[in-house]
Amino acid sequence: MKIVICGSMYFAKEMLEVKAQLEKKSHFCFVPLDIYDCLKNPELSMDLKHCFKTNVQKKCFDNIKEADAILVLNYRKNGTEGYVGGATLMEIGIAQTLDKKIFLLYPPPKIEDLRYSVEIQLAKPIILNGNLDLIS
Amino acid sequence: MKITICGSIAFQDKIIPLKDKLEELGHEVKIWPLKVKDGGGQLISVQEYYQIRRTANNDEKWVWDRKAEAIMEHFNKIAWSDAILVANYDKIVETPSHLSSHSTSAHSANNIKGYIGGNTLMEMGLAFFLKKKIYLLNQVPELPYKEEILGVKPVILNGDLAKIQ
Repeated sequence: MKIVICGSMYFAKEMLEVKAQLEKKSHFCFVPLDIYDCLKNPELSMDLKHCFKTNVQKKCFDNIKEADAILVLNYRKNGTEGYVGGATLMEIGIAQTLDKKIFLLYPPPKIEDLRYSVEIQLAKPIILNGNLDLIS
Repeated sequence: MKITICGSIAFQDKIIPLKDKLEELGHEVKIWPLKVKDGGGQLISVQEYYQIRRTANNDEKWVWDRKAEAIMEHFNKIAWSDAILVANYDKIVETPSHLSSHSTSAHSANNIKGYIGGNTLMEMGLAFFLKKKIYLLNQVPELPYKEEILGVKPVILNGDLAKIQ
């Protein structure tokens, strides 16, 4: 399966680890094109100049079009379990529109923590509870 | 120009006159439906539906089915349009204390200028992906996803609809 790995760039290291695990299971993975830069400096993902220069968001959307599924790495962040950021929310919307499978590594955040958890849940994601073997 | 207005149902009282103004300026405009079917199949106003949804539980399936249908229908309207206009008015929003720097209670209410909710952010992402113009009626809100909003390169109208072209 062709899978786009999505999530906060603060988890760039984890993205590469998951990519390696999925590749061992014969999946093909897309990761953000600036992932190695973000490994050194996660703040880059918040730097608009960098984002415009690399066109990273547009390229990620285009990858979703090419892929069969997205996998959202929603680790705990800023005290929120299952955190999903704004860019990832948009990616979920694109995947939903294009009728791609949407995998969430962990359960979605609580609505009390992130109001747009409703939209995430309505996109009907498959919750993996941390088990990548469930991707099929 | 074909325009789809995006924004919270909470702004309905402002969005309907906004649609009228755009039509007076010669645009073709779509918004969300004004009526939806309730659990018994009866048509109710979208405002009534919004009030029900605000307090709905997870097991009130029809409420969430309507929301899911509305999301996809609005995505289709964006695909139809040349541009989206994000109707981002001020809104009082409750924020969990661990996400707010100024609160000692579990939640704090903040007046967000030019509020854009998660659903509208998804719509902006889709418009960007489909290469549609993205207009923002008012200023970019101070929200955790401000960079994502700016990243889709919206044209900020500061209330001036004549700038839409």
